[in-house]
Amino acid sequence: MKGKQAALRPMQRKKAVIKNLQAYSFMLPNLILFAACSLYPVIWTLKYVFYQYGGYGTGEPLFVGFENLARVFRDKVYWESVLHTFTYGFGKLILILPLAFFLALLLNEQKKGNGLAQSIVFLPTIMSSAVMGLVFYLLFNAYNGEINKYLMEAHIIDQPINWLGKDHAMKTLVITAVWGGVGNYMVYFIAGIQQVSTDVIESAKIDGAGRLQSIWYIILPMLGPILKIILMLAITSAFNDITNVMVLTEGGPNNATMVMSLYGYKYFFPVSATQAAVPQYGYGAAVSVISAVIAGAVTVVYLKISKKLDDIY
Amino acid sequence: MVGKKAVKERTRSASRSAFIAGVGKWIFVGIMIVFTIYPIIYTVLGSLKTNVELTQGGGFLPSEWHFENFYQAFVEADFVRYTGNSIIVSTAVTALAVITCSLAGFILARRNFVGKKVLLALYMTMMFVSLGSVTLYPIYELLQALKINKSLVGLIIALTGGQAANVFLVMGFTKAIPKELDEAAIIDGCSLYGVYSRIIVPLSKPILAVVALFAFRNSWNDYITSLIMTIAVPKLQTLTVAVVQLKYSVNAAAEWHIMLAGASIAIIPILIVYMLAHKQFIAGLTAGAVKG
Amino acid sequence: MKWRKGAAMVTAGVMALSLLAGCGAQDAETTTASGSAGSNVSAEENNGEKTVITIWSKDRHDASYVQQKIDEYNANNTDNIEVQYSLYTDNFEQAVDMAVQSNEMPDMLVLSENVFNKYVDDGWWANLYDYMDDDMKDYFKDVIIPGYNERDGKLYFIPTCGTTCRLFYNTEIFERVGIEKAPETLEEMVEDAKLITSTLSGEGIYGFAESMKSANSGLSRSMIVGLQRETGKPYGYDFAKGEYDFTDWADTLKLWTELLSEECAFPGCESLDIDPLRTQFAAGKIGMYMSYSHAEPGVYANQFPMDSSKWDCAPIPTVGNKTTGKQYYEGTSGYMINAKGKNVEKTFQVYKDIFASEDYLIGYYEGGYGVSIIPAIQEKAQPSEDFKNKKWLLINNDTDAMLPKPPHTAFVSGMVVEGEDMFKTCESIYYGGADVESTLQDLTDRYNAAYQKAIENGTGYEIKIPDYDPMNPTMN
Repeated sequence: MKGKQAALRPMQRKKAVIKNLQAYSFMLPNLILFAACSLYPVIWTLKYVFYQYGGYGTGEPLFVGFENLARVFRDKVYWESVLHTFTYGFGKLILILPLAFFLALLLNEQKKGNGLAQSIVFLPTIMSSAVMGLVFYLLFNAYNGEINKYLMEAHIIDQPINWLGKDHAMKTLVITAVWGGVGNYMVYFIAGIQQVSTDVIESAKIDGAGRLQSIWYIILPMLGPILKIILMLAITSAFNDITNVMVLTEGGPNNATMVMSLYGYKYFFPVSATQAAVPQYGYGAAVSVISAVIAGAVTVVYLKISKKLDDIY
Repeated sequence: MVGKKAVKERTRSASRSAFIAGVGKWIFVGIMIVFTIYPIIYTVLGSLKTNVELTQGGGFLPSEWHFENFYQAFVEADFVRYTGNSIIVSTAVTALAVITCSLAGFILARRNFVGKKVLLALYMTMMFVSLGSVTLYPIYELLQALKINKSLVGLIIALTGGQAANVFLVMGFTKAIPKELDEAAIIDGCSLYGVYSRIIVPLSKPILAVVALFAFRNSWNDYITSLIMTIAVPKLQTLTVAVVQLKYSVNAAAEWHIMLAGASIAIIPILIVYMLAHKQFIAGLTAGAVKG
Repeated sequence: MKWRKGAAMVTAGVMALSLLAGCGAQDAETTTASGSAGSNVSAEENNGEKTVITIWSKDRHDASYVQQKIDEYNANNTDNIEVQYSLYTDNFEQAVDMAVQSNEMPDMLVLSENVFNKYVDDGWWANLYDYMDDDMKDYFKDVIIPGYNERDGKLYFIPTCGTTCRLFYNTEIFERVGIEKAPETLEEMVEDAKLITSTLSGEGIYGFAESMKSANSGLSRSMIVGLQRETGKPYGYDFAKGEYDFTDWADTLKLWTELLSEECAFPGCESLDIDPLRTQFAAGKIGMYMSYSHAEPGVYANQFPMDSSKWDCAPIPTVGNKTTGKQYYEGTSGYMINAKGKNVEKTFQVYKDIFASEDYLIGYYEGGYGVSIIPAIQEKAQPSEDFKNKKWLLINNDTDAMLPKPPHTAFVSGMVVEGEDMFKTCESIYYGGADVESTLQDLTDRYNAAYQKAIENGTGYEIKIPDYDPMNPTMN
């Protein structure tokens, strides 16, 4: 390669330079944004993993080596938050997948009413989770939230349920996550079902396959590829959901809903109440890096497993 | 004879079971519809109620329609400004995302250049490295060093970001456009810029629309980035940030109707966009997922 | 095909949007130029001679009063000064940090001890003595306390009101269930709370509440303050020995666990902020809660109206009414001036004309926004009925004193405590059911380790007052 390039005549070399410059003129606008908003912050974070730093006005960053990383491994609350992340992700998954699948199954045909129903179920996905988090707080709060009011009027309960208390907060959070995501997954399932050609289903019907049979033996297996994408999305989104937790519970009570993304965030942007709440950028960076590694590892494991499943099919 | 009767039976029972299935279907779908739409209706109707109705209990519909709640939110809670900020930010982010992704996606699909492989690898890696919102701090520092953190420009840049996923989306779409079209245009004397603007852009409108729609939705709904970028300059706050901050404001903490009016102001515009383009939203989602 | 048509429509929309964005971006610049709080420069350029002085506050309870005074000043002042007042709420410290980084510190800031401590050594605060005349020095001489607001002969702020924490209770509810007087011991308090909840929870009335959404904010105004009197060790720090010791918090925490259980507490305390709590107290749904003495009268007079005869306050109960020390009171309603600002002199002028004027201070006290600690004001003002009838709203020298700063507040960011801070650790006991003794021992060890490490790293220094008397605390 090198020899070949050296052999190029100056004219050609000039042409090549121009071609490259031309290409970069297209690339540049995006590249600048990418470098500033994706690349630089990652490098910054990786650097500060090794420092103790409280921000401007608190002295120079102090090099502490692997101290921050070691501290993450000693930090019980952090590992609890990792566990909560999995609880949250898993809870969301097992509720949302069946609901979305049945909705897709019932609404995929081009019939009157189906389109409208689809559009309504999809509606939450275009809503701001922060704004709706506030609304959910009003709906779920224990003392005069609408949900308790309805349940009490219907005599299902006689004492208000403490939806955001330590026993129920995670469930409440999962419910709001299902609310926000079910339409999304329904649409993926519909796309998958529509890829299963109608001929296959028709011929199954002619063969006398019942509704349930055709779901179980024909549609489900053929959903394999889309299901893989759906699971992938569900997993990555579970690691990244932070806004609704932040607005609804701030990770409380007693860290019952603290997820790992919010845990790292809190060291960068501590909620300042009255007493000392000083950012610890170094430790926050270490937490975030470990969290990213965990999320990456889970993704890789998932991809491996789904590949194995492919071989079986 | 017997056979005929049996067939009749069978069709009757079939139609009955179909009827039951239909009823079952709409009960389930109905519950899901109530579940999804209730919080939204609560917000919109609640924004027209009085505080007493909201906190002490009242009917489903407001007893009187208090449109002045919106006046209070807009004027007293300064929501005119925040709405303006949101509109500026979302449109600018949408435009910036579409333009940058389209340019980059095109060139990555069509040309080889020095460093392309490295760039592709970097973009791919960054898609998988998710450090979360802690990266907002270094971004803020950077914007501040460039002295653009005091205006909406900083927020627009932070919200647009690298768009790696969308670049790949556009790249994939462009690759599917026959290369012969470019070549023909070049023979006709088109420059690379000509090929891009006359051939590729018109043909990749569908995918650009997807990028635009989702960029708009994401920036309109964003909370954390907008919160961090406007902490020091509250006048730049967008609607979502302003709505959540109402919880901590002087009086609105006790005034749910104002909070809900604020929430409605934040969700109604996106509802309207959705009504006009709900099919594109739904179709765009799968385009993004399946191809990306 | 339908999709294509739709897509075309959307693309058209996008094109229109991008056109809009073209103008939008320009709008963005002009809005910020004239609107942003920190851009005094451009504002000055725009209208020639007007000087803009920016003030940031975090106090909600007096915001309407301050705004009104500032509006008056803006309308009447002859120096062509325009004061811009911004209210930050939960984000105040974050906002200041970020503003400092980008050199946008406002001209004047409301007193916040954390912010003051953090930036005092870097010379961010102006020495008020440089601008004060002798009359003014004399007027405020009683609130100048070396080690607190005066350091090395420099005066950084003047507190005009004082605050501490008290137990607030609804007298009507007390009467209904037959409680005759406010509880003095924590044990009594738990009994009272149980009584109220068991009798009246059917009506949605509960015995006790605290804003526990943030353990820090909830405990700082309640338990921690009671513990100062009970143990004589502010924030768990033993000034005589120079070490942390949280182990004697155990009894208090056990009783607090009961207070926050379903038997006593208002449902949803875990997710309650202070303002929603106050609305519920004003609505007569809460028997008792603890909070700052300076803020509540104004809140119930203006923000969430409540009949003054329906509430009262008392000292925070301690275990067995044990008292070995004093509880802190701190100055409020002071202002710090940005020494690196462009118009320090004019800023001081504004400070003097508005916030240090007798008219303002009298109105402030009379309006119930804070308890004045300036003798001249106490003499002249006619405070509201609240302050005349409710003696525990005032600072009381028998129970309250200025307290020295323990290491974790003296060098805020120099001391990094591994794991959860004292507030969250307490939360893990009363909400998480963690073992009281071992948890407090662990907390003690972690704070001491962090303190020693801060000294080692040079990010902190030793704090020890060998002859420290908790009943007559001395400043460090």
